[in-house]
Amino acid sequence: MKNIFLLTFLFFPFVSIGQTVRGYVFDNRNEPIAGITITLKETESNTTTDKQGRFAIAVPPEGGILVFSGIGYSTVEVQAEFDTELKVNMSSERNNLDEVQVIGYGTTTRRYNVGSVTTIKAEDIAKQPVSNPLAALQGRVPGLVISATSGLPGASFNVQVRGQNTLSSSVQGLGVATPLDNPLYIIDGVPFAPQNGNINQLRSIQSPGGATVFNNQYGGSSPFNSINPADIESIEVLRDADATAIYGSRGGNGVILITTKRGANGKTEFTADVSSGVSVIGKTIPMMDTREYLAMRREALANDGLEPNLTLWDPAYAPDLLAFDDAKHTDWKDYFMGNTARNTIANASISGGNQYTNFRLSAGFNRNTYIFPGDFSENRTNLAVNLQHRSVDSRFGIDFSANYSYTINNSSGSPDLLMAYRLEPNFPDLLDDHDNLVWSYNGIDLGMGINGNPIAYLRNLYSTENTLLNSSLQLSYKVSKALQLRASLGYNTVMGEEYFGNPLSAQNPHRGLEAEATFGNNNFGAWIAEPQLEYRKPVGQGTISILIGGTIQYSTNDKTQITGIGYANDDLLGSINGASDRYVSDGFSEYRYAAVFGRANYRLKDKYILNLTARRDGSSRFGPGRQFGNFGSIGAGWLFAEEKFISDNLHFLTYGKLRASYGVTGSDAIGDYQYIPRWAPTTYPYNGVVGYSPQNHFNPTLSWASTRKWEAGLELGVYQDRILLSSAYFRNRSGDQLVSYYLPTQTGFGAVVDNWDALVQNAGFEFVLQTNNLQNQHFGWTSSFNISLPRNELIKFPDLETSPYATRYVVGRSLGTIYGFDFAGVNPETGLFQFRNAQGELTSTPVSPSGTRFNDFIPIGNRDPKFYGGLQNALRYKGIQLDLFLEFRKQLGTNFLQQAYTFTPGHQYNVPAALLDRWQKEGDMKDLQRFTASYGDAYRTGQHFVMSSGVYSDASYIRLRNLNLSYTFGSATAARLGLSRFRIHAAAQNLFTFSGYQGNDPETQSLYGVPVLKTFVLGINLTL
Amino acid sequence: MKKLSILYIPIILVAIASSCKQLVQIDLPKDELTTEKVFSDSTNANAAIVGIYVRMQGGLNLCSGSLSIYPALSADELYLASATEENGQFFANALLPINNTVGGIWSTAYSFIYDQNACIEGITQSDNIREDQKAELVAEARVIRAFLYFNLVNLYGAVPLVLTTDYDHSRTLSRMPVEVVYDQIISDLLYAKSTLPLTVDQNFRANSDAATALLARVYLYRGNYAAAIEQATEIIESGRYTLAPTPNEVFSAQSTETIWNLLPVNPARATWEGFNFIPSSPTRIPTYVLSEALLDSFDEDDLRASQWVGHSTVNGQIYAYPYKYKMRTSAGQTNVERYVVLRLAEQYLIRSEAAAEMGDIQGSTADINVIRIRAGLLATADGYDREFILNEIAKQRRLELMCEWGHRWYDLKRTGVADAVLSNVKPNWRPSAELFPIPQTQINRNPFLSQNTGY
Repeated sequence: MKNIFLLTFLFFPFVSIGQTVRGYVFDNRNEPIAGITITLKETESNTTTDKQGRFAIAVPPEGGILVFSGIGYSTVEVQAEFDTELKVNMSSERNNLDEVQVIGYGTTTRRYNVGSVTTIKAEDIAKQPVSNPLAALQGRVPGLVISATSGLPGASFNVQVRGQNTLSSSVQGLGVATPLDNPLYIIDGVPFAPQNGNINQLRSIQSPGGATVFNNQYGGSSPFNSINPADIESIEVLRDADATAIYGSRGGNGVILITTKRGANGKTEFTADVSSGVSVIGKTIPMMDTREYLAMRREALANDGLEPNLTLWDPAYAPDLLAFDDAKHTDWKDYFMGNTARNTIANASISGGNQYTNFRLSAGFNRNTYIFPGDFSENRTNLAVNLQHRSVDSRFGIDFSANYSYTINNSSGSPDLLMAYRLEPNFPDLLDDHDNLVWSYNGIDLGMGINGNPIAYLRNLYSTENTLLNSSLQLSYKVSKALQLRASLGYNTVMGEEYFGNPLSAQNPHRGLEAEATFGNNNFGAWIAEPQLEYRKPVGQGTISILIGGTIQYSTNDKTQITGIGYANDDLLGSINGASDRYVSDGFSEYRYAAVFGRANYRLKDKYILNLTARRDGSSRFGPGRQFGNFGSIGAGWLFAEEKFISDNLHFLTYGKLRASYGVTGSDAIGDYQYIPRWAPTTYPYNGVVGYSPQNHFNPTLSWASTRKWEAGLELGVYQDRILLSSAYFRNRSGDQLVSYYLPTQTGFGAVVDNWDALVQNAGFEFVLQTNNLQNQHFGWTSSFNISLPRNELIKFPDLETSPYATRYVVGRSLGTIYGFDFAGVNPETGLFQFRNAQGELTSTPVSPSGTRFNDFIPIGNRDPKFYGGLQNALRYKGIQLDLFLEFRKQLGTNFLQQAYTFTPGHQYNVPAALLDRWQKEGDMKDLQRFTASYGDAYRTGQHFVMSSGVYSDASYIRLRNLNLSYTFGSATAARLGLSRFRIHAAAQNLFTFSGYQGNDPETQSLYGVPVLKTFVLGINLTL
Repeated sequence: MKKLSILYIPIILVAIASSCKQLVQIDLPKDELTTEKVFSDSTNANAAIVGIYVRMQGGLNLCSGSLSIYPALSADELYLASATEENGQFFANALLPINNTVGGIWSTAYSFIYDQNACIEGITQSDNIREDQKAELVAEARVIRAFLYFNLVNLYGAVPLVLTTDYDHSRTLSRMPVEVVYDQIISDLLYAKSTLPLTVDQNFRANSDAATALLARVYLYRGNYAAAIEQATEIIESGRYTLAPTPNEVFSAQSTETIWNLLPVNPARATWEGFNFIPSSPTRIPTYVLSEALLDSFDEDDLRASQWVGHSTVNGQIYAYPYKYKMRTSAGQTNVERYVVLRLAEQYLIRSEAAAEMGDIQGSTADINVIRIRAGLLATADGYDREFILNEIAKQRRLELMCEWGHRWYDLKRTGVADAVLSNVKPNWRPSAELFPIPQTQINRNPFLSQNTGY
């Protein structure tokens, strides 16, 4: 939408043409557009452009406003000028098949692309008040599942293209297979050095670690948060073999290409966008109040035959019943997570240029605070520059981009903060009159309890500072009309600095007073050089284009960590110097990668397309003799609507393409040095001697994993492409699984990196329907709907029975299948959870899997989404634009009971009020068992329950992911303000979620975690 | 110019293709060594052995204090004053196979065993180490391996016996009967005893006497009393060790009764045991409180009750905690303590018990009196019967070895009284709780691993 009113005036030699206005309409690629309607606003007289995009229209001498409109293009209004030829640039609307699509090492258009590629454009990103570009993709791309790991600012996202290809390396939970196979991320041609790995080394509320209770093992600090969404021109998601095989070994899990904004031809333009708003936690499930909580505790103790007492180690120790104030009630969830977070987004850019040189400079600032009390925030500052130049003869071209960003995040280094609201609702006040932490109440040492004083977690210091620099330089030289030489050079670095401080004043005096600080550095760097040669020539009735290139890539990662303890004074915690003892460690890794690649494309009569790609890759991640692998694909397309027999008979069909592709891609995503048997020096010396300790199992035979992908697609456009349907069936099969293969720890390590001869299949359908429902001068309505129906299956797994996966996977089922006990309610006599065992009998003591036997475990279901997608509606009335985007997902997930029962209800901490619906006396028919405060039978059955079908339930949702309302003032109003464009906008992210999910948030599925926040912002956008 | 540029292209591409091998060569990691280099000479091979001691003392694990805590909670030595669900399960004898501490002890033990197997293999295969040096280094690794297996069989019962680094072999090993594991332990210790030198000044590494002392314990546990007496006597009469004059000095760096100890490596910690047992201040409640049953079994004048039991008073209530190690941390002070693995007093207790079992009441009484006298008690008179002296030995073991490496838990089980003793003090006690569960994750990952009964 940015270019709606973008006008370019080009001064021609003075020619008087009286009262006829002449001009020429062109698109973003400087191609003329035919068939555009030009209406004189005042008189409604109109005309259309010819094949050269030219027009002439009569205008009264006093002038007027010309309205340019056409299907597939945003409407543009221009003040009529008599003395010059008008040059009008019209941006294509979303349905344009001929818009540029970025692909590996080149560009194409949707019309002629035979691969599976989806483009998300700047305008769709800009509508969303998000700080992480990954968040802007949620639900918009078929085949792409993106889930937030938490709603905290800066938190990471799980990203997966077309399902899980590899056996899970995740250790958490039973049968829980979480997304791991990240696609390859490339920014302006340069592989993003950290990829989608978490950039933090230390634990924090963002990164709670693997503990099951947080259900967030991938949580961390996302490197993509360093990238300003406002600097992105487009994001392309490449899925099938045709699109990804040019990336060879790295394309197996799909490829995400991020292209930053460039300067445009025309007058220098200054744009500023400032918005500000709030975020809140939204609906969460309520916890018990004091009355309910105390009743639960009394009942739990009574169930166990215990009398509450104040003997610390007694199972009936109950200060909450005997020493705390019965009349006190605090909603601790509200206290800790009920604050309103503030957001500020500010972006400014200046761009312009002429036919030889274009430039764009931009700066951005983004600030998000936290919903927790205290001074937590994430702040990002960005600078971006792009310069393009070409020589007068157009032979030589240069394109330089650089992005710099600095992000600082302050939060808490104690993930236990997320559980702080388990605190008993009648727990005493946490702070005294001097804001010191209270550790004692009514003779009770609060530090002995499970919860302690959670303010301590708030006062743990954590900060991370990330600096990103991404620069790319592309040089091109046209040797002849047919031959172009290119060289792409890029450098990318992300430097992370982390800090954790545990001040004395925040410590539980019981656990030991020892002030501690950790300073960490984590630096990623990558440079890449890719010489290329492109040859394009008409051959016969078609055009052949050949691309040959090479890649040399070098990536490094180095990290250091310094921990100091024994600070005598909290004020010194920010420096290592005040520590009495220090430990230092560091780590390094290098990665080299080299490849030659080629692509040959032949397009015959603009109807038949054949596309061949090949790549030979070498990777330093494998041992001698195993470093190289060959990958390639073949793709073909047939634009059948261009055939005479179709166009003669099916007039309504304006576009039709059948396409198919097959190819092999791979993966070397295992980390460096895995094929070398490594020993590391020990952290400390022993009697002055530094020791060595082994780091891994020795496996010299590692090599490439390979994914064979095939896909067939049908694309249709009817009624002048006002309705576009794109459908695809894909089937990916991943073999030679390169995984961190589980081992029992009796072997010395929990895993070995190995190729495994298992075959995993991801297949499915993807549909995208785009409609241009209504488009006229005043009113416009477009819709876009996408849906993906994936299916994952383990096809083959040799020797599964003797493998560590014997009771984790079953051939013929999805990798995401969950196995667990078959929950069968509560035994009305005993009040204990019961389960249906393998013999079909009810029991409260089911048998866990052992050997190759699942025993009483059954397949509960699978966590892969059954289907997912999104629906976008864009409505425009004059200057008002309304965008609504709904994301939906049908899936099974863990409900709140899993985490609620990880800690047994009835012990000394608060639980959701929903647990009140429990068994109380013989004969009660309930779904939840009796409360217990000890470690008897009810404790054990509670732990069985956590591994049963009872904690899985539907986690499907429809979420109003984005709502954006904007008003663009008329050009006259803007002009009065001295602006060329003036817009105000309001946006809401995650405003409503329709879901029957039992728990806080069906996306993050975590009870002790921060759900995806609701965000509201208001902003203005102006162009000078 | 134009022609020239075109000529460059194939040259560049050919250059890329032909130099591909070089382009994907990386240096070995700067911070790590390959196995080959580790065993390239005796200095480096020695560092590989040293690595395990650092790991043993690097954090709280089964070789640095866990065995003094968790089995003591499971037995009748400690109360848990600040419970989490994880350690609450030990105290309540209600361990679940998914308990992370149980899983951690298992995995750490096998990880340490892997280190030893890797050293044994690497040293044996090395071409650049003298044969006698090889034998000594291998023997040292075998003592440590034996020590780890000894604890594994006593915690979990039958366990997989892994003697190789070949994961393809070891990943499917099933649990071996306790006797078979003990045979390996004995074989390792006998080899080490005859191979290792007597380096008393190097008692921070497993030496010949460490092997002998551990052998004495193993023979006692196996009921081979004659052999136990023989090994214990060898240590007692070697003249290399004498009991520390008072209980207070037993765990000091200068202690004369230490046979094998470990040097704390973390500059801010003295021993991990001291850090975990001693409360942060005398006005704080300790996490682990000595049980009344244990405190009650001290005789009035027992020096151990005054020197090995610490007290803190909070809100008028007195809490007792294990105080064998006196230093909570070493921040800002010189560390004067060592983490003692094997000491002379236990050898007297071993010989006393073995002698009693063999009917030598007099010899038995003499040995138990050595322990009593050091504790400030009067010598027990001669002439009591076997049952009395065995009871006295059990009591002295309980007190002398309280909260030390799981002795009480092991003793209750091996003498067959765990059920009788613990069912009185532990409300949830079940006889099957004598063995810790095999970690569920391990059962999931090795189809040939079975669970202990009752879990």
